[in-house]
Amino acid sequence: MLIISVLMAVYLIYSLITFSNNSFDSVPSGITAMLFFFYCIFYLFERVKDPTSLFLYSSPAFWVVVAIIIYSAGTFFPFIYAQNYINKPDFNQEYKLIHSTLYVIKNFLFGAAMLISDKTVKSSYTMNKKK
Amino acid sequence: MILLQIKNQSNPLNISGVLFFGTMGMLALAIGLVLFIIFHQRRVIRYQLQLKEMEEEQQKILLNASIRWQEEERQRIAADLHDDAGPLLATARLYLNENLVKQDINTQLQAIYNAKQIIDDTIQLIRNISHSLMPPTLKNFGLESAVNDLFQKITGSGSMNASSRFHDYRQRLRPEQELLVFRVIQELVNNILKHSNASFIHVTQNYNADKFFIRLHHDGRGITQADVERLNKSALGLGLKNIQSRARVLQAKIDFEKDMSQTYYKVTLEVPVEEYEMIT
Repeated sequence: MLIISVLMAVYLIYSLITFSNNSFDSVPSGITAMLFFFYCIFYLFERVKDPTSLFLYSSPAFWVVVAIIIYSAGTFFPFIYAQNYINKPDFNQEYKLIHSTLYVIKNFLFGAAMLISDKTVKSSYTMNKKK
Repeated sequence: MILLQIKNQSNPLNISGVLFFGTMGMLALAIGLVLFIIFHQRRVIRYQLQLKEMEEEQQKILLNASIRWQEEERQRIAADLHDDAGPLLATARLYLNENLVKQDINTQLQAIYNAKQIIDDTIQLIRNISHSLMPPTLKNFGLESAVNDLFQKITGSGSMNASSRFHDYRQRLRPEQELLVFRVIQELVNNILKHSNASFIHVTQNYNADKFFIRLHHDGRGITQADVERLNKSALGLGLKNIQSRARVLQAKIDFEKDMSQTYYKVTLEVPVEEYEMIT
């Protein structure tokens, strides 16, 4: 896992340096989306395997991970087509629609994670105060 | 490669469809995976809870059995003391009343002799009660001698042939472990005597790979592990529950099975013993 991450980081830096075109770079974006997707699934499976963990959806990390999964899965196809078709008005419109919707969903889920986190902090604060 | 092929596509035919269905497919896959993980975890947690509940239930049954056994044991001791020792001492007191000094010397001697006899009987009775609580042979000479002693009494009664063979008992177990193992053997033998109609009991002992084994064979009507599990769920089988609760204290494994030859029933007690637990 660490090796893949390092290789990916190296590749991204390389593509950042060498990319000269002003257009969208589909290959690193698509690979990054997939990598995030698999990392998040892997994380969830690891959490399930842990016998001491409580219900997944009661932790803020779960909602953050779900947000990343949905965003990276949903944007994979738009990203890999973007380099060639972003200048076409029809595609551009669809791309923006999909991307914006997923972006809103992602931020909404991040917000949910923050609310859960806030609740946990508050309840422990109240408990400490009662003491 | 796929990405390059897509990049090289010149015909944007159906791009909109691919984009739509591809995105929907990926989203469905992502949501499906997340839902699968959530439901799987819920199922695992529910299963663990069920397992915990079952374990607690089992613990409760064993605890109840242990309490009931203790109460029965107390009642037995109370009955022994009240019904046997009490009347004997009362009779001895009658012999030794104040009027004895007014009697002639022969009557006095006779009364003292009778009282002495009764007091001796009472001492013997109390000794028996005490031995049933903690066999002195076990305390002084160990498990092998205590089992041999028990089996001699059974064989002596003529009802059954009981024998034992200790293959590797150079080192004694800790006293509390010995007592628990002995009680398990006693309870098993008691059950065999009561229910099995067996003609012989044979106990063997072995020590192998930090495990102390006791195997008990008999040729009567026995029970297997399935019967034990069935009895565990019912209110019956108090003795069996005691055996299991003692095995639990010993952290031992106990197996009830039919012999390979399908002729004998076999009970194996496997006690984990570490070197430092054994006393020479």
